[in-house]
Amino acid sequence: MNIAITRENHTVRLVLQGEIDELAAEELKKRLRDISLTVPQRVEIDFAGVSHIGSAGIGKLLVFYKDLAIHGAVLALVRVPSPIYHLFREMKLDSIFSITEGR
Amino acid sequence: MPLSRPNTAAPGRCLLCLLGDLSSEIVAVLGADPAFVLHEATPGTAAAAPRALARYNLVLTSETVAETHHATLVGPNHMVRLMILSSQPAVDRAVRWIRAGAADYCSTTAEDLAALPGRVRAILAGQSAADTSAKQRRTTRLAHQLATVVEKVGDGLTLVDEHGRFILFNREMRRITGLSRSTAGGLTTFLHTIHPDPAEFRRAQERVREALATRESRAGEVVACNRTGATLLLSVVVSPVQVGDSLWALSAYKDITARRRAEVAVELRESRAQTFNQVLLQLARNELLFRGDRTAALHLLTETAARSLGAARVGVWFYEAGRTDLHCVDLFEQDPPRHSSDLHLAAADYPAYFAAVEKQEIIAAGDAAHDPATRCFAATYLQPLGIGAMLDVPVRVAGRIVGVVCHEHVGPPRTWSAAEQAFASAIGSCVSLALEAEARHQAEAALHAAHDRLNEIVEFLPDATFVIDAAGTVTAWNRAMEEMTGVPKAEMLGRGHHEYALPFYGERRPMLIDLALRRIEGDSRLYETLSTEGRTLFGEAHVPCLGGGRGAYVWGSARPLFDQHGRLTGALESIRDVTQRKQAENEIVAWKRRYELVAAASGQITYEYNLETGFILWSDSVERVLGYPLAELGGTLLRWLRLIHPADRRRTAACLHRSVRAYTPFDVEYRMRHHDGSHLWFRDRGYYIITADRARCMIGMLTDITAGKQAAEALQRAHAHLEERVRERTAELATANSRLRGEIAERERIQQALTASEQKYRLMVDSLPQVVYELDLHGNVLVLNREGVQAARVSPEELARGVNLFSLVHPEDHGRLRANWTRLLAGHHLGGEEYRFLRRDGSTFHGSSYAHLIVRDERPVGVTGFLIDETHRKQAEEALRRAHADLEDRVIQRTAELAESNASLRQLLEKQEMNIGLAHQVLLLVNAEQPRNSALPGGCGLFAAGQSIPRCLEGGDHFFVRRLAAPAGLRTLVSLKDQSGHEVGCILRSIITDLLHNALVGAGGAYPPGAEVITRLNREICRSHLFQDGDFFTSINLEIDHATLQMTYVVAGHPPFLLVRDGAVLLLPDLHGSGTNLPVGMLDHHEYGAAALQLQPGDQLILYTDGLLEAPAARQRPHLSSAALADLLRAIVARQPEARVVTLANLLFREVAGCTCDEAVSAHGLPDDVALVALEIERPAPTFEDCLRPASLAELRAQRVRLAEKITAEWRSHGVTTAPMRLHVVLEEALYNAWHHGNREDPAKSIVVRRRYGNDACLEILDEGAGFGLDQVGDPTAHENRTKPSGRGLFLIRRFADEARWSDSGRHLTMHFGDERTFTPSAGRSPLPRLDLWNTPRLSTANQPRP
Repeated sequence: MNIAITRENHTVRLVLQGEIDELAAEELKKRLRDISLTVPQRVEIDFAGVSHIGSAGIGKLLVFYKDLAIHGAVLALVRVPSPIYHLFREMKLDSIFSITEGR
Repeated sequence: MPLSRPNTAAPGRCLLCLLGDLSSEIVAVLGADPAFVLHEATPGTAAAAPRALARYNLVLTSETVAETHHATLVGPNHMVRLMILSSQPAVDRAVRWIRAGAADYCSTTAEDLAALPGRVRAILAGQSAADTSAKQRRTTRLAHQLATVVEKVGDGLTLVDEHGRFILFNREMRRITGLSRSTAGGLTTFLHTIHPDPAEFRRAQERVREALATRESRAGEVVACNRTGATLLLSVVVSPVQVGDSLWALSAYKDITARRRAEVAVELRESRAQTFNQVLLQLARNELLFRGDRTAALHLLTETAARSLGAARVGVWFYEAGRTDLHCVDLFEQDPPRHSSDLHLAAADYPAYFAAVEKQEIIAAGDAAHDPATRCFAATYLQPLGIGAMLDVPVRVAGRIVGVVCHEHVGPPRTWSAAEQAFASAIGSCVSLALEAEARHQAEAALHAAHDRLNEIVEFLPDATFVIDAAGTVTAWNRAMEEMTGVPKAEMLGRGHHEYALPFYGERRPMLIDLALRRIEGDSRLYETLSTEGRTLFGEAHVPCLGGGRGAYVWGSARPLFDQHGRLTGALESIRDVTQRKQAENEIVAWKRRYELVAAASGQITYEYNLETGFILWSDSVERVLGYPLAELGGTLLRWLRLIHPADRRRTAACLHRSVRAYTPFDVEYRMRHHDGSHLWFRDRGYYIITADRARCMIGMLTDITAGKQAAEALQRAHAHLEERVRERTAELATANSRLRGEIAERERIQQALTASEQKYRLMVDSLPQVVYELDLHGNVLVLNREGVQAARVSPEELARGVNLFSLVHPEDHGRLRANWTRLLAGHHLGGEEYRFLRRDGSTFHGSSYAHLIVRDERPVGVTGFLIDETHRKQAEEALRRAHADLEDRVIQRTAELAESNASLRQLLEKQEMNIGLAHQVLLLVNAEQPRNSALPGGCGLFAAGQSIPRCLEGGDHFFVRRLAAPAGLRTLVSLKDQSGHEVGCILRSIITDLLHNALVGAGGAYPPGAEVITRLNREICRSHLFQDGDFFTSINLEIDHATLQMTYVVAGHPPFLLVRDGAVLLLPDLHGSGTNLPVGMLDHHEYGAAALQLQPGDQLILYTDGLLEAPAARQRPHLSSAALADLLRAIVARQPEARVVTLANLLFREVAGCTCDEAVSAHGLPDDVALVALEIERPAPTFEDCLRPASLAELRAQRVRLAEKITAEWRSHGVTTAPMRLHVVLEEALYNAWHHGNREDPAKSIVVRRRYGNDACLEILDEGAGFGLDQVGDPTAHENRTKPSGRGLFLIRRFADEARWSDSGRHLTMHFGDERTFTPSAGRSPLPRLDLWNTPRLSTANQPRP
């Protein structure tokens, strides 16, 4: 999995690429923790290049969400591929953070 | 060594030259003699230096070399002393060489070789003697040489000098004659001795004299006697020999006695053979042999054989039946000539002879008394009769020996020559020929007799019959034929070239008999109908010439005739005049057509209900009467029931059920739904028949009685109305009667008044509300009443001056008025002609004129009539037009209102669809989670999955699979139902039905038997009022005991299910067989029965609803019967014998509907709902297993990726169509759980990943952890769990596996993956556990929570 991070004012944008399996989830966890330390106001994670995410990856996203929420920051998942988008909706994750379908 | 330098011989030794290649034996013999010195030379060197040869004492060479180098070696001028050596000495050659000058001519045969050195020495010694004169020496030497040679020669040689003295009389001559030179005496004495016959003696003397006189040889063959007196045949050549000055006679004799005898014997044999051949030729030409008279033929043969072979007795013996005896049918004895018979030989008495007859082709017993085959007869037969030799040959018929011909020679033993044996065999063959001729004559006689009988039979056959032979010539023409055709037999017999066709067709042409005789292809068009049965042809045709030229229909049958050997001998045809029958048939066809037309016109539908197949065949009129195309109507009983009005359906079904059970006629009236939605009344009457193929069928007729019913109702209403009207009319009539009476009185009074006064009449006319007029023949107005004057607004003065009709009518109507005036004057009555009339003030009004001609004294005198002012009617029509326009406006307004209403309805429909979705969810809730794969004892598995293809959003076909944990063991219950109707109510009824069904099955404990459940379900349905009249459902219910594989089934009005076992496809249950019942919801008191079937591993079952049988209609194809469906499945199984049941069900659906299940689901194009349930008792399958012991997360991932690739390849090879993504997700989640939560990341503990493949791909993951409690894993979608970072692994596993269950306290996860598109879990893949209303024991969960 590849992670590209860009910052613009108080918004951090992550572009994820590849599969987020149990091993990639650990890598994601580290990168998200680094971001949370910078206390951004808004974090956008671009899922357009993600082909798969397992329960471990979702767990890391939720931990990250909690870290942001403590500081009143907002997490948004954007351009989420349709299968993953529907999976997130089934898990009712759309009630926690913003999720927009990509294709 | 060159000849120019020959070795010098040692003193006392002779030098010999061996010229050419002499044999090694010669060289050895001469070389061994110390008296000789040998020198070998080649002919070439000798030729080069001939003089050198003179130095040798003697040159020895072969005849061949001497011949070749004659000029070098031989001659008076040469000094060479030559000795010719010959391995094959001959007198003539010896004489020639000795004459030529050779020293000697010496034999070198083996016996003479040893004497060779002595001969050489003698020559060399002679060479040195000089005591006699050269002439004498030479003569003596020659004589000596000749004597030596002649003595050895193989011919008998004599040399006689000029004085008749024998100089030579060699060894062979001594052997031939038995005389020696001394005993022979002189030549004359010798000739006398060997030729006692004076003539032979003279010829011999003459031969010698001629030879000497002519100096030429004389040859001849002479008869001579040897010393013992035996006669000899000699060949003799007498040659003159010049010896010095003397002329001697050399005679060479050869004994040719033996050769001549042999030649004579050969000549004799040839002569005998010729004689035999001539005899056989004469026999072959003898008519007696072939006449069929066996006795005469045998007499001829035995006599001929006896005389030709010189046998005293010749007998013909035949085997008796059983081949235990030989019976002599003819024995000919030559001396005196006589024939006898009736001798018998028993096989028991002479077994050797009987055995020899069977084994040997010929018994040639030259010495019969000692021959192994015949010596058994010696004491009893041979010796008494003096028989010395026997020659027995077999008699064969059809290759089998039937007897023997015995040739018996009386006298001493005799050798039977080959010619004699061959002749005897030929006699045996002749006997065979005679027997065959006899048999043939008998057969021919029988054939003639049969032919006569046939002719006799033909003659008296009632049908007109004639017979032709193989050449087409008429051989029989019976009496009936004479009567039919008018042609007498005498004129027709013997006629060919199709002359027999003339009386029928007036021309020569082939008839049926020709087809039978020659099998003429392509001529079948000659007959309207043509059929064959075996070799017999049947045909019907119209023949124009019969019936006195009126033509007639004839039926004919013809067949070929064969003799006993199967050869075609002719043909026979019988002809029958079937004109009357044909007319009757035509009449029947016409009546049938009329009937069909009447039936169709009268709204009748006929049908044939096959009780064996359950299929209904409707007549074509069904589409015209009911409006359904045949393809749409289908042929199932269920479809028919669904068309019946709900209020009549249960009554009709019960009536049919009673009729089928009791086999009584079916007669019931009910309403059926027309294609346009209306209902028609029918009377349905059916009767049972057994068809030609022994199927039980009901033939029935639906008569449209709607009009009658309506008429009856209308009549009833009319009757009531009429009665009311009668009452009203009676009252009215009473009133009218009273009024009429008054009117009559008034009219009478007026009449009296009119009569009394014309004034009164005019007054009355004037008082009429219509215009009354009278015109003359020119149209001038004569009379116009007051109403007319007012209508025309014409003044009395003007009227008095004269007014013409045309001035009162609008000019535009003048043309019509003129035409009508002409018609009126012609006598036509005109009524209701409408014109526009002109008033004098210029206004117009519409009026209808009624006029007729006034005739007085038969002459027209004028026209009278009246006119009705139509102004008011016209005004009414205008008002009507305005009202119509108003109505149209209202219709437009109403249409707009309806459109608005439709929009509302559409909204309502959408709401209804929402309700359908909700109803579907309720149905899923009722049926809970359905087990898809169940483990069976012995490693087998039970697979069960269904596929629903609703016609609309949702249909009335539904099924459930439920696992029952009965005390006796696990069972699986499968229920497939088909609800009548398609509306929302149908889905609600589905919910109610399954709810009741599940409730009746119970929630644990002792489940009632399937039949009892369905009986109670039916009762509850009928009594519940939840189903309206006409609502019902068909159902098929299976229960499978997991331990015993015993299956019970209850089929309620449902099509039979399909069982595939060992490649065979069966339909169960049989029609009306055990387990067959009425649909549910028809008769509340019906008791349902069950049937049982023992399942076995490998069995596959496919359950379906009748929509599958109707599915072909979507492609304008006829509906299928269940049997046809089974045939389709049979073909599929034959093509893919190893296919799983899901594959079979998918292929079957595609074969029937022309598309796949998922295509049909999305297209909604089927005429009816379809549901399929597929079950299979899966045999134990091979297991694939991997064991992982990852030490880190990275290692786990790497091993997982490799394993996923491996399993993906396995899936591909096993035809698993599930998306690989599903595998990746569940593998990741399950392995991570097992490693992280189960094994606690301990590398010493293993994770086992096991796979098996059946209808579904099975994936098992086992860890060595402490296990966990499934119930304690929270729902990650619950509000309180949504933000928790863990607890979603099981959610994902359930979401992506078709079936997932945990066992062994959660340490063992079993997942199943099926096809992506068809036969998926009916409730879909649920990521969360479903609520089980019926408390089915759950195979899962651990009881130990994970720490």
